[in-house]
Order: sequence, then C-alpha cells, then structure tokens
Amino acid sequence: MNQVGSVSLVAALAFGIYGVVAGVIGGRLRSLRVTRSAERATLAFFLMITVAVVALETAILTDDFHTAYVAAHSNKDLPVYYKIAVLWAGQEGSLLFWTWLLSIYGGLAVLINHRKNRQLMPYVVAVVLGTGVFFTSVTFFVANPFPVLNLQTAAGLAPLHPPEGNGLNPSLQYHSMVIHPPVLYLGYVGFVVPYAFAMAALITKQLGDNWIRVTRRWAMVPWMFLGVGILLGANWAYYVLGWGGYWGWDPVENAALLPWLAGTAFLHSVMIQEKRGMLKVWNIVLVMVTFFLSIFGTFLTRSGIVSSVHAFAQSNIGIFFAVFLGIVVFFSLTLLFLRLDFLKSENKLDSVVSRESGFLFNNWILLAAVFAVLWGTIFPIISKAVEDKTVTVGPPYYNKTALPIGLLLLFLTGAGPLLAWRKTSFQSLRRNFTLPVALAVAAGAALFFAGVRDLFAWMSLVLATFVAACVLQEFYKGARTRQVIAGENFPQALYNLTMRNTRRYGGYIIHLGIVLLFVGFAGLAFKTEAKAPMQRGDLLRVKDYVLRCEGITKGETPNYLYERAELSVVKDGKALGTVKPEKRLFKASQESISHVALRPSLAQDLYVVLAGDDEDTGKALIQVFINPLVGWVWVGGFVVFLGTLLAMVTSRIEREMAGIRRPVEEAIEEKHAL
Amino acid sequence: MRSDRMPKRLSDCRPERSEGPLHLNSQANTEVLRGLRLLRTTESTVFLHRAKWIVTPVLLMLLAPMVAQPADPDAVAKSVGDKVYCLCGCVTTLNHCPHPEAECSVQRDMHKLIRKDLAEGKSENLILGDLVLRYGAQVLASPPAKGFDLTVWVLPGFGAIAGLVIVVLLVRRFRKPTDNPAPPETLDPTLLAAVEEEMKKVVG
Repeated sequence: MNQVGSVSLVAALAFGIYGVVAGVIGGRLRSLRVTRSAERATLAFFLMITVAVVALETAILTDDFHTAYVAAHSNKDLPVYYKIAVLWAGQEGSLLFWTWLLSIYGGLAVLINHRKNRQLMPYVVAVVLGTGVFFTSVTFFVANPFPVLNLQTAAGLAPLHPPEGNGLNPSLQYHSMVIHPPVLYLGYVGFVVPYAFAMAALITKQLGDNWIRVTRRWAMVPWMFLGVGILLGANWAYYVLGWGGYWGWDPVENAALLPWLAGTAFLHSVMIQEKRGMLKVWNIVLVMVTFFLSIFGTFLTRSGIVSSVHAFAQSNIGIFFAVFLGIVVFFSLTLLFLRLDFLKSENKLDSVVSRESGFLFNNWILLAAVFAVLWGTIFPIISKAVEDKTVTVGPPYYNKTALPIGLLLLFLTGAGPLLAWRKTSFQSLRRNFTLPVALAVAAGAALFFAGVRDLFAWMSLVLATFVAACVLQEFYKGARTRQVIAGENFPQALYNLTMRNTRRYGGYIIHLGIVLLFVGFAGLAFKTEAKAPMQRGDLLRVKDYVLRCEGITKGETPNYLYERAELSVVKDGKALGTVKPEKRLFKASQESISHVALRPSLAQDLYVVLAGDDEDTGKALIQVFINPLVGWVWVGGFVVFLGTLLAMVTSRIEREMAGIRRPVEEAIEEKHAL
Repeated sequence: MRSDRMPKRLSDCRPERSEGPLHLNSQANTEVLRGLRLLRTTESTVFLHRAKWIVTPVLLMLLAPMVAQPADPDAVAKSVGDKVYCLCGCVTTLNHCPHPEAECSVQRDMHKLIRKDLAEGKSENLILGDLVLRYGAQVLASPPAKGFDLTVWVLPGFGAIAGLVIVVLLVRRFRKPTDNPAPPETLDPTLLAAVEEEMKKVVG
C-alpha cells in the first residue's frame, strides 16, 4: 500500500507539472487541444492524489503500524470515526489532505467551466496546479506520510511491526474534531480558485467584471467553510479544553481568522466593481491578500514558527512555505503592475455619504483588523529577531485592538446597507435611521439600568439592537412595498423579495447572524465561575444553581481510563437531573484530558469540569462555569451559514440578467473559440 | 530571556501615567476655534451638523459613564489570571490552561503565588510584578508598552490611521467635481408613475 501511495504522489507531481506547462502553452497559443490536455491533467492530478489518500486511509484503518505515520497517530482500539480523522492528525497526513482538497477544487473548476471562460481556463489550471505541485512536492520530499518503520540490526535493516500505535492525541478525540479540520481546510484551500481566476484575468487582460462575477461563488464557498471551520474549532475548544471559553487569540486561531477577514473585505468590495466599475486594482489586491493569508495561515499552523495550543503537527517545513509565499507575492505584484493600465476606474464617486464610501470604510476596518491581528500574531517572531527576547502577545492585546475594531464593524453591518448607491440624502437617512437609533438608545438605557456595566458587552448589545433593527426594517419595508405593488400577502411578499435578490437578502441574513455572534460574545462579560473540592454529599452553590455530588466512579473503556463525578443539579429549587464530568486517561498515549459536562441553553450554559484531585484534601476538584449567551455564538454561526447558502442561490434578477448577457457572451466565446 | 532585560519592578513593565483632567486654557480654546473656522465647510461637515440628532445620542451612548466595580480578591485573581500566561507549555493564559489544575504543577504554583500575594493584601499590579520577578517578562500575556515592545501597541493604531488617510484620499480623488450635481431626490411625478407601471409589469 505504501508503495502505491508513494508512486501515486510521484505521478500526481508529474501530472501537475505537465498541467502547468500545458496550461501556459495552451493559453499562449490559444490552442483548444493543449488546453483540454491541461484540464485533463487536473483531473488526473485529482485521481492520483485520491489514490494516495486511499492508500494512507487503508493503512490507518487496517492498523498497519509498520507505517510510521500510522504508528505515531493511531492505535488499535481507536473508534473507526477517529481513525478516519487520523489522516489529518499529523503533519504529513494534513499536507496530503490539503493537497487532495486542492485537487478537488481544481477538478470542479475544470468540470464546471468546461464550456465557459475558455480564455481564462488555461491559466486558471496553471495557477491551481502550480499550487498543487508545491504542496505535492512538500508532501513527497519533506513530509512524506508513507515511510515504514525499520529496525537497525546486525544483518542490516529489518522491518519493524509494532503491535500497537502511539494513539491519537486525546484532545483530538472529540466529535467536532472529526469535521473541524476538513471544513477549515476546505476554507483555506478554496481561495486558490478565486486567486487563480484573478491571475488568469490579469494575464489575459480580461479585466472587466467577468472574473468578479465568475469568482463570487468560488470565493463565497471557502469563505463559508472557513467561517464554519473557525466556529467548529471554537466549539471544540469550548467542549474539550475545559476552561469555559471558546476563543483564546491563539496564533493558529488568528491564522484562520486572517483570510476570513480579508475574504469578507473582498466579498464586499467586489460589489463596487460590479455596480460602479470602481476599485478594480483594489479587488485584485484583496484576492491576492486573501490567498496569501490562507497559505500563510497554513504555514503558521504547520511550521511551528509560533508557539500555539495547536502544536499537533509541526516540522521544519517553514522555509519551503516562505519561499512559496515569496514566489506568490512576486508573481502577483509583477502581474498587477504590468496590467495597471487596464484597471482604470470607470466612474467617480458622487457623494461621501453613499454605499460606495460605506464599502470603502468597511474595507478599511476589515483590513485594520487584519493588520492588528497579523501584527500581534507575528510580533513574537519579530521581537525575537530584533531583541532576542521572548514575548507573548495574548488576549489583553487583542481585547484592546481587535474588539474596538469589531464593534465599529458591527455598526457598519447595520448602517452600510441603509446607504444608497451614489448618494444618500439627508431625508432618506432620517427615514432609515430613526427607528434603529431609537431602539438602540432604548436598549442602551434598559441595559444600563439592568446593571450591565461592562463597556464591551454593553456596546455589543446596543449595537446588536441597532443592526438587527436596521436589517429587519429592510426586510419589512421591502416586503411591504411588494405587498402594495404586487398585491401579495406578507409572507409571500417576504419570500419573493428574498428570492428575487438572494444575494442582497442572503447578505442581510448573514448580517443578522453576525449580530447573534456578538450577542454571544457579549455574554462572556457575565461569566460566573466557582471551584471546590467535592466528595459524595458535598454541595456547591454557583449563582442560582446548586450542585450536589452524588459520587465519584472510576472505570475504563478499551480506549481510556476514566474518573467520573456525578452531580445532581438544582436551579431555583427545581431539579434538573445530573451532570457527569469526566477526566480521561488515554491508554495508548498516557495523556489525560477533561471531558466537560454541559447543560446548554440559549440563556446560559452550565459547564462542569472535573479538574482532577485536590492536592490538600484528596477530594475531586470540581470547577463550574455559568456562561450566559454562549449558545448564541453557535446559533449565529448557523444563521451565517444559512445566509451564505441563500446568497449562493441563483436569484431571479441574476437569471434575467444572464438571459440578457448570454447571447453576447456566446458570441464572444465563439469569436475566441480556439 | 536575558536576565538583564528582566524588569525589577512592575513600574518597569507597566508604566503608570498620572493623567490629570484635561484643561483647555482660553488661548487653546481660541486656537481650536480658529482651526475649526479654517476648516472648509464641506458636504460632510454640513451633513454632520444636520445629523446632530443621530450623532448626539450615539456619542452619548458611546461615552455613557461606566461605573467601575469594587475589587474583591476573586476578581483580582481572575483579572491576574487573564493577564499572565501559564508557562506549562499550553500557550494559553493562566485562566485558560486546558490541563486539570491538579495535574499541572506550573499552573498550581502560579495560583499559589497569587493566593499568597492576595492574602498579604497586595494589589493586582504588585502581584503581576511578583509573577514577572519569578517567571520573567514572558509571563505577561501582552508585553509592556515600553522600548521596542511599544511598537506592538502603537503600530495597529498607526496602521488604522494610515488606512483611514488612504480611504479619505481615495474618496477625495474619486469625488466628482461639485458642478456635476447628483440626481435630484424628488422625481418628476409622471416619470414616477411610469416607473411604477413598469415595476408592476416586472413584479406582477
């Protein structure tokens, strides 16, 4: 199996290099035959990487501990679903998995554009496969998952077949870890397609809004996956790390946030180009920055250059990534400078108070956030290089920089969509803002009198009220107008309004999801916690909860030993049943981890951790957190996900526009038929 | 971490600045007024003036006085735990160390030191100072705003301001000359009727 894997990697490398060369030649010569050959090479590349992935998964699932990777990251009694996840549990497997997802994106791009965008496709293939060649090379030459274990004996090397593997890192043995890395990777990897289209547009000088229209969905898909992946990671941290929170501004968390922020800026900024023909250079720069940051994020995660809680898989591959990033920057900027003449703005700004400048400010704030987070993340490396000093840049820094930026952004989430294109009159502002501002002021006063004293939480909730009112008002006004004009009933009008412009109203739903996220974030300010050594019969009172220890039991499963506390919960005199936090010691790795017991609700979560045995009393140390509003973070994430799906549905307006454009596009395609 | 760089006192790592209330003398006031008068009356300033009914409540909300909470030992311990990293290798703040406290000796020792200091009635700053003395400056979850480390705090602000300047310059560059007025807000009623007629066709 290992030979099959290695050989397929070599074959993939060959197909990749061939595809890059054929793509460039096909594009230069405008040869359909050569371009088609390059496209087939993309599919062959996908097939070969798939074979390698199947080979590694087979080794993992059949407990082939002769393979070093399997011995290091798996063990016999690991449940099957965790064994599947072993593929991305280590450095080598992760890189192979990354390459596989890239090959899927590449293959899909080729299949979907079989008859479309013929001029761009040869270069799209070249850029996607160029990235694929880099990742395959790193996987094959530097972090190969297929070497086997050998024992040095007097007679030479003898194959070593250990009876048992080291086991999967215990903190990865949680259900969201099975999907968090793949979803996150789908996000990171996917930005290669919009980037490839942008580069192809630059190379072919096709710099109208066609590449923007083509790449919108290709950018939304990875943006959605990255966002969902980040939240799944937060969910994992919340359920597994046992400190009662979900976000710690860890360098690797930041690494995923950076391309998401840049991608958000891109998705907004493209609208100015589509509607007004402005900001063409800026959009190219944004897509480059997003792609750069997604590779940079992979680099941070994989190289171990910054210390992180995610130190699951690291080796000395940093230098290869640094060189690749250098090539990406050089290639992108050179192309951009060569094509500056083709990127002139078609329009001027009519007014400062307009949707266009709203988007400019949105971009400014998002990039300020990117800069602040990036700077904090890499500062320890810079400090080490400049002063040879180890510093830590953690939550206090981000709370002072990223939080104010986040609040400003939240404000724009509501205010931006209320500004009209070109120029917004004072009357229309008054019409649109009166209700949201009034509601926000009322909410502010109510919260203050209700005793909310945390500035961040207070502002989050006030702004959340403002934005929710802005967005809901837009839905209401739109539906009312349809009701009057088209004579539909309200739900019908609401549905038709949304489906007619899915992009706009999907976007609004995403904004509502962001509001819910901030409501969840604000809850952090009202966290209560308590800790006590407990044994059977002991009581612990936290806020309006009373926990009574019913006993401590010990036991084992094939995979781990556990210590479990059973606590009955009473809230406001009402029994709520029992919670059973555990501490697990994994047999294979001999590492232990807490298994949180959670009683979630949208108002507040009861979060109970068995933190081991108390040194002085020998009793079980029970830690309890009451976390208000955390549930809204997950709900908000889900709403963002739904909104993104809706925004990707072809709207009626889009269909009508496509009908108008199609004959023209077909004529162009025919003219350029190679 | 070189020991000569280790701060000896907390005031070395977190400079305490005494900031008195802001007083503007009459001369400064005149300067400000002159500066304000010098400002061109642009569309945006007119807009801001007209929109004072929006801006004022928003500003009031932003500046709503937030009453500080009295410090109790648990709150101080929690606040300290948010400001220092647990040095067990978990790369998280002390409050966030994922290891069970009973099994993480570093976490336990740090908590012990904090509890001891609290029992002695030390303030948050003094406790942080003790932690720095024992574990080095890297125990702080963010570097003190001093020396080269000042850049970590200052640069994001500079970056944001530079970005804002670029946006403002872009807006100015993109602005149409003012002799080209934007379309009037009120439309010709006959045109409006015609548009509505068309809308009915499309929507219906």
